[in-house]
Amino acid sequence: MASPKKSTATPDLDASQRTNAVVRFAGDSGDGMQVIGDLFCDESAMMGLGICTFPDYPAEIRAPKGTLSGVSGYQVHFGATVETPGDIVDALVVMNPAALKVNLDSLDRQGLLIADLGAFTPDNLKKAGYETNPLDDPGLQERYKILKYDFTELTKETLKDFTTIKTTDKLRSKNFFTLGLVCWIYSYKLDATIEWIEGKWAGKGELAPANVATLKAGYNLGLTAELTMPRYTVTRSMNENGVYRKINGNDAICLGLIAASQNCFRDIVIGGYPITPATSILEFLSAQKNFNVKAVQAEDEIAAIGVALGASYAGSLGVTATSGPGVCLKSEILNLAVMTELPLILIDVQRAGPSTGLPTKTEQTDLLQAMYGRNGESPIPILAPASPSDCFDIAVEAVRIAIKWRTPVFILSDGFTAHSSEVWKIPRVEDIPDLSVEPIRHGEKYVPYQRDPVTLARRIAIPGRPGFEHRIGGLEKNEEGKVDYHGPNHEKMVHLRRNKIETIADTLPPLTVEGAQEGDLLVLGWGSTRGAIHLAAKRVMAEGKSLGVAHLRHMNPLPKNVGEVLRRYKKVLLPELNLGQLALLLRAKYLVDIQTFSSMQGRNFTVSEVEQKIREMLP
Amino acid sequence: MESTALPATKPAELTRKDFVSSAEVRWCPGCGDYAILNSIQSVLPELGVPKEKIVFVSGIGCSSRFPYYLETYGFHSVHGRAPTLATGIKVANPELSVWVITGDGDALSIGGNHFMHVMRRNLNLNIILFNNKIYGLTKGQFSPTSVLGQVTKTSPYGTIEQPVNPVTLAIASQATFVARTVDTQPAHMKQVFLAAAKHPGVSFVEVFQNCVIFNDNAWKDVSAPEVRSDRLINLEAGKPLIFGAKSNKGVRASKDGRYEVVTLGEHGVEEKDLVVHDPAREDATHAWLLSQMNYPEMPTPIGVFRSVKRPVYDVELEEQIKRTTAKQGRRNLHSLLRGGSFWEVAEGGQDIKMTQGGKNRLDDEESIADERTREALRDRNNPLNLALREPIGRVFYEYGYQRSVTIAPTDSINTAISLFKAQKVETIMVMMNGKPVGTISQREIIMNVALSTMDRDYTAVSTVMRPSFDLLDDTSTVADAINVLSISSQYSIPLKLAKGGYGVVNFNQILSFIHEKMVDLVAASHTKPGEKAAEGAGSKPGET
Repeated sequence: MASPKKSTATPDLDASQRTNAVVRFAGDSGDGMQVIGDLFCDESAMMGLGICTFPDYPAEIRAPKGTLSGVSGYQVHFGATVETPGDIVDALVVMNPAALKVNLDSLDRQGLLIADLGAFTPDNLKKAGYETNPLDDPGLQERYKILKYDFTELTKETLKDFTTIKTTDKLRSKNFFTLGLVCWIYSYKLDATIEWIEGKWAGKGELAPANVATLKAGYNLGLTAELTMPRYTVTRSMNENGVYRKINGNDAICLGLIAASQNCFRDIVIGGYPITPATSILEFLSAQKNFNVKAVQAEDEIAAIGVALGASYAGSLGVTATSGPGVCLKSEILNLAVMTELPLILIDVQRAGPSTGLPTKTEQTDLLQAMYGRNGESPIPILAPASPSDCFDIAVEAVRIAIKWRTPVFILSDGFTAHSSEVWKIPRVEDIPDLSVEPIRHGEKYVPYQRDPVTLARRIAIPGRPGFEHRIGGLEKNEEGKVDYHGPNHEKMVHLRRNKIETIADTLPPLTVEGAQEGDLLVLGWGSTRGAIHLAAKRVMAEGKSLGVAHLRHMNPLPKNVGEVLRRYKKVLLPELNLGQLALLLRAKYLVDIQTFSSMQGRNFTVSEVEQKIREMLP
Repeated sequence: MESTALPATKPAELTRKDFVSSAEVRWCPGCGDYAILNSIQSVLPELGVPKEKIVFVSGIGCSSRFPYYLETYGFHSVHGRAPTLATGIKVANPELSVWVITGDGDALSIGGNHFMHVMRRNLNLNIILFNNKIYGLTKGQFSPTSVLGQVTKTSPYGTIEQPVNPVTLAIASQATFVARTVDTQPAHMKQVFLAAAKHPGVSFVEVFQNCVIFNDNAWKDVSAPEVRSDRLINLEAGKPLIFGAKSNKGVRASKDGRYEVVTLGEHGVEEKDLVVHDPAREDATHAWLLSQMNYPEMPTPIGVFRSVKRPVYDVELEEQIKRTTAKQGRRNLHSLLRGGSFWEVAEGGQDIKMTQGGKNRLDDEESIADERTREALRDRNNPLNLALREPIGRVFYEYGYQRSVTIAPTDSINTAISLFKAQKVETIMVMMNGKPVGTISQREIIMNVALSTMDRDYTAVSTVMRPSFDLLDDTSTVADAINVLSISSQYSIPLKLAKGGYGVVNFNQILSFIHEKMVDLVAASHTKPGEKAAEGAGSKPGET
């Protein structure tokens, strides 16, 4: 996202101040772009800046070197008001011609283009489909501020005295040269990177000192070329004391689940099956053996949820993670969980569909599937994280609901939230809520479908406890747990299951609006679009318009005041990465007209497109 | 069969009646399912498992109503998926005795994929397949086991597809226990179910079951009393394959490797020429050849086809957790949340400190004590802490040195018992090729051997010992040792001695050591306040 100053930003001799900036590192898969992207984030954090990133891996596992399909990118948005990975890039680092071709469109006009001249060989130009060297194009030089250096040569020159290192290994460190230069441009220090290098190559001879030397040489290039080099400082945002880290959505869900599992005294059993973009949840949890997490990689999506539900029945916290196509397969057992009223966490990391669709791209198109994609009247609570770090809180909340109401719970994350990272203020362990529920006492009379008067949740007796032997299953039961096909009993149970889920709303915080509490326009969002919607609305609000912005995290049941909030505005705008699924639900439920702003391009909203839409809607 | 797969403790005597639920049984009169239900209800009291620890899981179909009729925990799930739920139940709580009840359509058609994987995964489950070669609950469509050409409602002109052989499929899927029985032979059924229950690992039993309404006489051609001795062959371990009303027919391996029927006394065929049934054969060829024997070409075998020992999934999973936990330390949410690198922000953002390479990485093998233990040990004035900081080697040299006794994993249980008696030790270290592989204590003997019927001369120490994954250096602290013992719930722990060789210490020795150390330290602090307690490793051995 562009900083307000950017359009006028011309290279300054003094470090010019910016509130935010966006850098993208792009090169071959083997150029180490993800490594320096990560380290650049660390250095940003050391400066007290907020960060949000989005990695962009090639779709192919091992794409040919130097080709367009092999370009790997890492975008970092850093500064004071960071809520998205950024619309437009302020500084683009390209390690070869293919990287330039793939990424040039995203670079802001008058943005900074940093290129490794050494990689613009005739061969590489040809692979990228350039007939002439684009860096020599006068048009390009006019549109962007170009810094071109032969990083390859400069790295070789820097390391000429490191005689024990082979030339090929020397060239591998040229990404550090680039990182050093970018760190100078944004007035960073190098401490975190140096510490990382020294840890990584400890005891590996000259490798650590060589990489540090390359890093410093890049930094010094900035110093010595000072007259022609732009330099900026960026506004800090980490002003609150505490412990912070960088986290992506899938990892945050895992941490939330583990924290919650400790606080409800149930060990996690995850039944999983690899599927993009949910796979890293199964991978992460598979490694947490010392938290008693049991991970079963099942034979298919159905078995994965079967394992999770069986484990929940036997007293564990059953978890399964998948994406839309997997949800299709899981829906029958999901309904079994609804019918048997057992806790279960289903994480749907949404991707663009239908069918296989765009497996690596993001979308919010599973909302109606989560709401209604099963046979029978089958209510399931649905939660949607608003950002990567929010995934932690959402996971804890999902477990709270699942355990207390004995119900499967949907977490609707998406590919964007799963993979982008942001700074997270780590909660103190003692602040994570206690989620335990009262177990049945020995000797009590047990009636399997007897309900709590407040939550309407049934009571659960776990196999292994003597005296409570009973049978459950997918057939309709009466309160005693006996199979009962009578119409009136069925109707009663259908209402009970629905009302049970509705009582969750009694415990939810009301929907809050930022900005105007009533007036011309409410911009409402849900899930991962929060960053773009919130920033866009704030920009317009800054001009004093009658505008409110609100965000939903509980999709089912909705907070109790949603209808009342919607009716306070003349118009409601709902940007969604689908054709208007939430709008459909809200219109039906509250009879309020809602205008959908839809985007289906496999990416999240940009701030500017939402901003433009808001302006169109305002008088 | 091993008896170690089931809890050795005997509950109050249960009878068949204890397993009869109050639900009204709703199968058609004359259905084969009644006989199977009776059989299971008579087997369950003999397992020595309390009924609250038994779970029956089923899919969909006539057979899948089964759990409702048993007074145990029961889960009637969805079509074909019972093995997946059973997997989750067993993984969550390996102490439960978990049974899957399924049918030919449920297991082999809609649940075909799960069938293969639940077999190869080898959880300790019992899977009973009621094979009536028809879809009964939906009123008479052909199933994957219906015979070629069978006329049903969905095959009015006869089926045109090959049926699947459940036993062959189970063997091909690497099931470790595969058996077959018949609903009309209660004694045989009971014997097979008992063997299945006792097998550690997955047990698969196909039951020839009759559907009186939609596929009556499904198995009559082999199981009718007047023909069955000629058409069924009962597999008995260690016995030659003999069948026939006159017991004069047998099965021989032909020169090209197939099994063929021969008549004893004809063409010079003697009993010694026949195939001797060995269900424990490592390779599956014999079991597979048996599974290919079908009436009318051959007699159809019933009994246990295959019973071999392989690592059990739920056991391996628990062991993996223990091993990893011993290496990485127990759950520490605080450090997990911080992850590999984090920033501590103080002074309103003016002071930012970064930590890289946090301690919760998988490859971090050094730290055994978790943070809480370390925290507790920081107080240097507490005599208990000083005792806990002593090297564990001292416990060995002062309390265990003279009494370290070793045994080989292949030695018999009786050898171990005689060593316990003769040497007056509580723990014996199990050594193989000069390395410790486990420990065996009196507790293991009492828990696993005393109440069982296992042959103590024949059974190896390796079957009851506690395998050791945690080998501590003798310079590790007493606190480290306690931490590892509590994580792994072991009674004793082997040590690697700095002087070479191995030793073993147990909880009693550690407690005695701490006790005496504290008494000494408290006494010393009263006489000479401020004197620093002795520290460091390399203490003298007591005696050789």
